[in-house]
Amino acid sequence: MNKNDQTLIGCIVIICLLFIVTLNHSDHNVAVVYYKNEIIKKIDLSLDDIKEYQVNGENGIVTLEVNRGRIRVKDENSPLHLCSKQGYISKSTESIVCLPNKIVIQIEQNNDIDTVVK
Amino acid sequence: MTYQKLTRLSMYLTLAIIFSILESMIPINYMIPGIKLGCANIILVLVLYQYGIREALAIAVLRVILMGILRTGLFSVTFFFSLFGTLFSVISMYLTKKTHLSVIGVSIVGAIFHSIGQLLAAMLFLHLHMLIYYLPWMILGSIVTGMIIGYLSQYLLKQLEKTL
Repeated sequence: MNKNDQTLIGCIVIICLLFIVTLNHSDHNVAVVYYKNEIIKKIDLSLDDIKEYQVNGENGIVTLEVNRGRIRVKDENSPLHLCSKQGYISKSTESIVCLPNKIVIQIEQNNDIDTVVK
Repeated sequence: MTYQKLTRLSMYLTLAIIFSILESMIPINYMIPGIKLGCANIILVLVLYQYGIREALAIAVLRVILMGILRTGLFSVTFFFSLFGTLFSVISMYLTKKTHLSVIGVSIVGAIFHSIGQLLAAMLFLHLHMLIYYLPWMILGSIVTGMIIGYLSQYLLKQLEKTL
């Protein structure tokens, strides 16, 4: 292996990693908002712009903010403000629970691609 | 075409098919689904370096056709996957052979374009456009397999020069 090979490998690895990092943001996740265990809203997180949504919670309006594949509770009315302090979530394993407002936000993956090519 | 060349190319073709069959028996679904070493690529690299683009293309296409008859079925979807992959691989290796890359670099480029060709075939025939998100992972895997194949080919080329 000579110098040229090494630079080639280096360049390709960097480009790949860049692609993986940028594509991971638009991972086609959907934020599902539950109120009293019922789905009240589904928000597509793959949209790239910053947007606010408002849902009705137990103690009034809960404001959600979507920002580049992430979602957070921006404003809500509760004694400890735990869920707005939690900040952004973006991965399909994460969730925000707003107990006083009886609101749960869960990120689920949009499983359109189930086919594995051999 | 001399008898010697004919015999050697037939041997290479046979080896390529044997490698393909052996490899299809060992499923390696480690980390990246669908990845495999691509041992038949050793043969393509050897033929490309010892003879040239025409012989390599002939071996590649014949291998795909014979594998189609033996295993996957002629003109099935998997047949076109292999055909696209091999053609992309051979042509890209031929083009990169002219640059200052060593056998290992050429082999890596071949492995990467093999993945790209297969993905293109999948997108064309199965309309799985989402697969493009899978490409970076496949390319990272191709670098590893291409490097292994490259080292093996380099060693074999050196040994064959001594003996043949």
